[in-house]
Amino acid sequence: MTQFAQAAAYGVVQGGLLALVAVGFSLVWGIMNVINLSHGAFAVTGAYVAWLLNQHFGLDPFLAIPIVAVAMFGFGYVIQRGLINLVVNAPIFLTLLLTFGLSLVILNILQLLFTADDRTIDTSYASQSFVIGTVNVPYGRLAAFFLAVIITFALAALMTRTRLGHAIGATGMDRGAARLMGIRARHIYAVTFGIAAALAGVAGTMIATVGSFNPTTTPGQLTLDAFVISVLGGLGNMYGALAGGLVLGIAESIGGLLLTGTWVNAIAMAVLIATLIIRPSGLIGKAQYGGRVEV
Amino acid sequence: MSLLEIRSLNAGYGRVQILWDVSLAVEAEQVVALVGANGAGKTTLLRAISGMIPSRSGSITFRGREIAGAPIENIVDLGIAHVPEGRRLFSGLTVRENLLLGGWRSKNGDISRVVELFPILGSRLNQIASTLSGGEQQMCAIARGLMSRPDLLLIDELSLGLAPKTVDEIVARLPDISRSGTAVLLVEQDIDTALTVSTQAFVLETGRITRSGPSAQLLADPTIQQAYLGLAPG
Repeated sequence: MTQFAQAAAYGVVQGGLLALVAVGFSLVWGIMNVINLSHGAFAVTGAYVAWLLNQHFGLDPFLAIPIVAVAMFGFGYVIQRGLINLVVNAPIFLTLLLTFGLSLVILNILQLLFTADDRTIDTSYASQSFVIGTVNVPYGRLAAFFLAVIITFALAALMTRTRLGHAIGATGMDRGAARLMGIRARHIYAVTFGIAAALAGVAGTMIATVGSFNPTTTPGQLTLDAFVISVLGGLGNMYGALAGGLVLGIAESIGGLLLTGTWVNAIAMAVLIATLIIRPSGLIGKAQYGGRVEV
Repeated sequence: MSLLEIRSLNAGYGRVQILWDVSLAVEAEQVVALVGANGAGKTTLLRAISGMIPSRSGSITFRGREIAGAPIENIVDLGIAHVPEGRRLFSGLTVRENLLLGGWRSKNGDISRVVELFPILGSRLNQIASTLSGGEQQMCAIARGLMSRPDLLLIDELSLGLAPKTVDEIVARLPDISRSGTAVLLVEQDIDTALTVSTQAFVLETGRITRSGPSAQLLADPTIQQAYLGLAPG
């Protein structure tokens, strides 16, 4: 029982972190119909930025977050404006191919610069934890979890309450009509992609703080998790990504208790398939994006 | 100088040419009708004006500036708003959010003027746009277009799918719109309605302008009556 509660608690905090990885991925997919296979590479790039800041300036990873977010926003904006916008209206296969290639390029550069070694950002609080009953909760993971929840709600507020959010949503619903309002779709797409990259970078920083990362296995795992969570939660839905992240985190954590390590991905896929059978539009999915109109 | 002046415009989709040597003018603060049968190229002409499709040759000048080939967003900035065929409201957003997006470029957040024009929208502001009736959706689309305070409003198929009474209700607002400083270029299959509300009209047939002149004159023309209004000659 203790073991089970511990796994559940770990699953929740891990799920929050996964949600932060997925929320940007889901946003880009929902708005632009781009499945960004380089999302995991963005997260790891962000992790390296925070790691470098920590190594050279001793900057605490939580304080590095704004810097990582701004740097990754700029990176994402330029990638979308200069590269992905070229094929954004093309069949989805082309964007898959392009973002896959982009991921390879980024990861090989990272490997060249930093080698393929596992890295982690050491903090004094990483190994500390507190105890509720019989359950052990590490401070670092709990902080990462709350940060993920706050960012998810902030992003949802941006999308539903601000002019920019409405313009992003409108461009996602009907790009041609949005342009007739004078909304610069290319710019809006780039901003959307920049936001997603920034959130990926922040998630990568948190992952580097509570665990370890490397440029070979981490990115693929994160992209896969983001994919599963986005479909689980419903495309383009921020709260859906949060719910999907928690479901996946708990399922993987408890599943990991019962099965051996390599089965974790199988559990993720089983959860995905089960959801698609029971609720094809995702946990909190709406049919809104089904009504997408292209010029 | 006319507000909008099109000279010998050729345009189409890919290799298919739709518009052949089209010339047309819209004066400021007027309602001008562009009428013709299904497939004549009316929608294509509006799309060429607002930059949704490129033109092959010919010129489109707006307030004396060449706009052929300019990006859609820049044409909006210059003062042309396009109410597209099928309205294309942002279906998941509320009426208020739709209207505010119409004022995106001009940063116009004042919806009182357009609500005054279509008071029913005032009671629907927080309703999701896709739940409006067809007539209300058309009003919302026109109001959204007016939010950028354009000098020229292009309206495509105003009557599409609407009850005649609703059409009359919306069409009755067009002279108010033009008097307040926004000229209207109305594309309409319902030729009787279009020629009644407008002052000038152009008839488009298989991509070519075949007739033009004061609307009253065209309405009284026996060939127009015979071809489009189903009236027997005599």
